[in-house]
Parts: sequence; C-alpha cells; structure tokens
Amino acid sequence: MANAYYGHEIVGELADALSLPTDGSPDNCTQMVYVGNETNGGLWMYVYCNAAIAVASGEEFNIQFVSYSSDTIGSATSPFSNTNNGARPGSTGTAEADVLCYPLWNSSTQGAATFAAGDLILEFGIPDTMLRLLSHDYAGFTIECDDSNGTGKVDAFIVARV
Amino acid sequence: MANAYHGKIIVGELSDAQDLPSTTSVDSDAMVFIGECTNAGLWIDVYANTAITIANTFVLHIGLQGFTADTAASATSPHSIANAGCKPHATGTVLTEGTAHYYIMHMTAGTAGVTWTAGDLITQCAIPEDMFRALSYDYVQLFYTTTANESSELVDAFVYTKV
Repeated sequence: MANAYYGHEIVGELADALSLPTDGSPDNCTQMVYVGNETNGGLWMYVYCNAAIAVASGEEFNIQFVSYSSDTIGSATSPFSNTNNGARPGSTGTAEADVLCYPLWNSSTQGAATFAAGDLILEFGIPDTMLRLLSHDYAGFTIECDDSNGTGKVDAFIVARV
Repeated sequence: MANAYHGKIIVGELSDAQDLPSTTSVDSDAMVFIGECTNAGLWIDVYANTAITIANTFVLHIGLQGFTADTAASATSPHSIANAGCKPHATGTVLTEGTAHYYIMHMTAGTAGVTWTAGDLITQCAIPEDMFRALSYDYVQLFYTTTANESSELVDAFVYTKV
C-alpha cells in the first residue's frame, strides 16, 4: 500500500491527517520541521488533502507559513525582516511582525473551497534567504477556517527537491 | 556600476523601479515565461528600489499569479482543485475562478507601520511549478495592492535561477 507522502522524499512531517479548524481561530501544524542552514532553495512545504475538504462560500480558508529559531510552534512568526542589507551573505534583519505570508488566502469575500482527497492544496518553497536573516531554522504553518460546518483533513510535510 | 539584480542570474524582470499603486491593485510591469518543469529552481525576489514606508492602518500586499499566455489581465492564482495530487500529466481546475490568492506578503494594518530601506529584500518565493503545471501556466507575474497612496515608492522584482 502506498504511503501518505505522495511520492515525495520527505525531510519531516508537519501534519498527519490534521482536521480543519472550524472556529476561525488559526490552528498550528502538529509539529515544526528543522530546515536549518541554507538549502539553496531545495526544501519545499507541501499540503495535501487527506480527507475531502468543503468550505462554504463566504467562509475563510487560509494557510500561513511561519518559522522560528527553535522548535516552538507557539512562538513562530512570519519570515519577513527589514534593515536586511539586501540579504547579502552575513547580513541579518529585524523581524517585521505586521507582515505575513499566506500562500493560500481564500477569504470570506471569496468563493467556496472544495478539495478531493489526494488533491494538492499548496506547494511552497522554503524561503531560505529570508529565514537566514532571522536565524530561523524551523518551519511550520497555521491553518484557519471559520466555516462552522467545514470538514476535511490535511497532510503536510517538508520535501527535499535537491 | 553594479546592476539592480542583487547578484542574481535573472531569467526575466517583473518590475524595474515600478511605482507602488495608490489605493488599488496593479500587476507587475511584465510577466516572465517560466514554461516547462524547472525542478524547483526558479525563484522571485522583491527588493525596495527606494525607501518604502507603509504607515500604520495601511497595508501592502504582494501576490503571485500565473497564466497560460503573456496576458496579465487574465492571470489567476495558481491554486487548483480536482488535480489528482498534481501527479505528472494531471490537470486541475482553477480554485473558485481564481479568487483565492497566493500571497507572498500580506500585511495586517499594524500599530507601528513598516519601513524598508532602499536595497532591502522585501520578500522571496519559489515558483510552485507543480501547481503551475496542473493549470498549464507558463507565465508568472506579481500584483501589488495598497490602501494608501504609495506611488512615490518603488520596487524591483525579477525571476532568477537558484540551480
């Protein structure tokens, strides 16, 4: 029987059959994955539909990428910085908390979202240059849905494409 | 004199000292052809060409879009449904007629505002090629959304290779 990694060589799991929240409050992924040091763009986050997802029109369904300097998902932030000198080698940046990364943003003003089991929901390259500026070595995500009747589960993991 | 590519080997320019919009959304100045599989090697960087200040209560969003042709107005987000896991040769249907967004930067109206100095890296993303392939998208662009007049502030953005 095929495993649940959809043919990928994974570095680590972020979520295994994680249920969608239904209260509008973001849920954290089950665990973070270590992505330390520079990977030359070779590490990616994939989110798949584990069980059919149905989010009604007018309801939010968002996935936010977060990272942090340690394996503490509750403290994870967005990977943005300023005063970073163009991210040149050796540069550092100052974290910018008001700037977020939402590679899936299906807000309440937008349409329904319905995925079948096995669908790829999201593919996102780990922005290793941005993480380096903040000395972030761990990656994760939060997931948000405010459809009280929403259903479904996701699988998510970090993949090496190098 | 150094060029404005910040040491990268670029595939194409999306924005060259492009003005940010004034209380609206605009597409990047150009789309870039990224056709065929790239083995995850194509990335986008967005830099501050001038100092940029987004005051508190206002926002700047930057989103990624693709399309099958060099037609900016028709571009959508790359999310799809019924895509069979984006396996090779699988195809998908654009999620909710393209109304979902792939935000590579999404601001909340914060309490302190945000400032970048000229030359700062604002954001970075990889081209999600499996998602693009499921929709047969060969062209990529960005869009910029502001809720204040930021037209005196400029950005550079380009597609480059990390392989």
